[in-house]
Amino acid sequence: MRKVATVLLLLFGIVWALFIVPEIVSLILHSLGTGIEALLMGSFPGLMRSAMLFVWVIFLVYPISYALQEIQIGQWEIMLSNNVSTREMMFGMFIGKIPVYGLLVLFVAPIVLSPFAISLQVGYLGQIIMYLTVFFVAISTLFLSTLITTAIQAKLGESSRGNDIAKALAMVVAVVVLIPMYGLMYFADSMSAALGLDVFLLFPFTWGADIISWTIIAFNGIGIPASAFLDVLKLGATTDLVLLLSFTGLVVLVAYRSADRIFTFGAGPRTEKITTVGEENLFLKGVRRVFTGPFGALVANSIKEFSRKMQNVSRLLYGVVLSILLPVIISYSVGNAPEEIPPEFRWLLLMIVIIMIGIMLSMITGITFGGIGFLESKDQLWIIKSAPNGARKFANARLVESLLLAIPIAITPSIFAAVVFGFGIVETVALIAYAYWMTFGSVLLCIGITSINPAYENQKSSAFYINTFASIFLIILSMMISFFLSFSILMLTSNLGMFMVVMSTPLVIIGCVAYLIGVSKLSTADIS
Amino acid sequence: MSNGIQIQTESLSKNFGSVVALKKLDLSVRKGSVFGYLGPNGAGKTTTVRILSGLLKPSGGSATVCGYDVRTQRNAIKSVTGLLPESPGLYSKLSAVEFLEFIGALNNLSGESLHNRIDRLLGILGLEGRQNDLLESYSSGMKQKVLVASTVLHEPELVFLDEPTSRLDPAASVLVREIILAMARETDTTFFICTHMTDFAEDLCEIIGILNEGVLTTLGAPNEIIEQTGGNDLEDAYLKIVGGEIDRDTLLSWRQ
Repeated sequence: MRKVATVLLLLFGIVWALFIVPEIVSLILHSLGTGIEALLMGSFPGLMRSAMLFVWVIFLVYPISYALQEIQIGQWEIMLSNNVSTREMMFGMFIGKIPVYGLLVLFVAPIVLSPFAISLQVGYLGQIIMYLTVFFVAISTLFLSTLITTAIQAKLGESSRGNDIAKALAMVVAVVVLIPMYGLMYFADSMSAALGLDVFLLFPFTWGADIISWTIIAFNGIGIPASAFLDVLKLGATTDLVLLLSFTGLVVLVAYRSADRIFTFGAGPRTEKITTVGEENLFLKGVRRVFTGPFGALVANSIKEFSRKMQNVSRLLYGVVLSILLPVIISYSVGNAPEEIPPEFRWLLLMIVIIMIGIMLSMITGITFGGIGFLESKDQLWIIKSAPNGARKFANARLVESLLLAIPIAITPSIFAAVVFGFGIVETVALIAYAYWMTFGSVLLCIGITSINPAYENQKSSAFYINTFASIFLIILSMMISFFLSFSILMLTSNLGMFMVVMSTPLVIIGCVAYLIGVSKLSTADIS
Repeated sequence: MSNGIQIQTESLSKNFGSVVALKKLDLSVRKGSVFGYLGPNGAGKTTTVRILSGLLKPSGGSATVCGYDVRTQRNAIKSVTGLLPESPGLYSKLSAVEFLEFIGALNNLSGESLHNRIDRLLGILGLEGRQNDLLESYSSGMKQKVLVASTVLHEPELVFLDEPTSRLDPAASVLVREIILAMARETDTTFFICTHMTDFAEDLCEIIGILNEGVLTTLGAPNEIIEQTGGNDLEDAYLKIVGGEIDRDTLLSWRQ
């Protein structure tokens, strides 16, 4: 079955690359008229560098991020005890990734390259060179990422602390992926111009991109002269090719020579450091004063447990960073400095900022507090459930913990947005209240969903994917419904406060329902 | 509670789809006794414990624990029982003291009295020097000791222990055995112990039940079981009952 599916996928990929994408792109280019062709003709070296940066980042960072979700030293030890050399293992891991990422190239590369190939009438030989270059850059980057992942995993070692650090790193790495993606979405033109700078000639993706640009120049059917792009391309095609091959050769050589050292497992953080907890800080003492008795103890220990996990902290920081970046990106893409925003756009901008911050915060906080940080393992759930009303007490404590920790997370991006757009105090306070209310609803919703279908901390389990999909779907659905309602109210009343209340409250209502169902489900005796 | 009986089951059964995990279990466990529940892996021991502690719904039959019905009075059962699960479900990012405070709070305990109790338990278990270290740095034996402490922290009337000594060194096993005996004799606490360790069960348990493929095949005092089967000790008797004796030729047959 798997073999048949692979062959079918490969055949479809070929049809996709040779017929489907060129047909669709051709239709789109026709509908856009001659202007787009002139644009592509004039700026293809810069655009190609942007596209290759995207490919480079995806192939370098995504495999690292994915592999760090789970430390695999246990499996390595089994393999290494079976007369398998370290080099063989590393090359084996790399070769194992090629089919999936090769298919990814097969499906993505035509989308990136077809517009240039069609509008600039690149011949078949030229197209083959273009595709092979993308494939080569992707595969060599994949090799580099395998090397980096292996080194990080081996050094972290297999322990709960090592796993936690690895997952935290996975999130940090993911930020590096997303920022260029946002950049490509919002500043394609300015970025292309920026990539024309000399400093980018140091990056392997630039050499690959420039080889493709030279191929377009050599094989185009509309007579583009090389002299028109000498200022941008700077290095010749041969130099680019030599640099790319040398870089790849160097990486392979370093990997080959250093394999033994890379695969020497570190003792791992388990033995490097024993963390001894000290006296509780003022915040936790305050929590115990507000919530007295056993419930206060549950909340305080839930806060400690959650906030000591690096993966939770890095995920929340990631959400805050993205929420802070959003207003900047929106402001930049509108193309106006805050003080120059025309009055008629002010409300529209505020509305976009409100919606975007709401979506970003609700997704990140919901999935972090409700999805991953809710329950560590099934065994833990048995212990919690063995106490009278244990599941309900636990869920309530987790909810209060999440809502306390969400306060700075909602405030920070809201204040940042207020500064970027020069909002007044009333608007700022309203934005903070709205952001927190959205977070509140989302945390309720995600805790509810996870309680119905516990995924624990296994981010590769089907339960985790289902919960994440259900959470995101319900957040987006509730926001779409809210948007139509709140927009109608804004048109009628011009009341921005009312807009924010209507925009956020449905999520809270859905969240309350999900939470009640989830906690009730979690409290019942298991059937299987 | 009735007539000094802490656990009473009648035709208690559990199916997982077509798999029969427990078949018509009839059992009585007296208050203050130490009951040993033996059986091979997958025999249905953990399933029984989960049903009796109110975590799993039975498919058939009935059971009362400390006088409470397992189907309708689950919270009442949980308030008077303690459970040590088979696998440790500790919070790696809490210290032993914090984890025990968390478990105590789940059982409605807090304040000075809880902390005194935690300190004393950790002292008895030899963890006083490491009590403020995060549990992620504990060995599996130390984790098991913390779990034992969490099980008895709220002074339950009945304690379910699922493989309590599987991760412990001999000295720690003896310590746990002595804690069980002291609690059973001095505080009238009942213990229901699932274990593979026949010597541990033979030393500690007054009554032993042997479960095989979901069916309780043997019930009695250890010496009675040994006599009935004609074995030398409980391990020998156990192997005769569940069938674990394999000749050496069979063990090496895979090489041919």
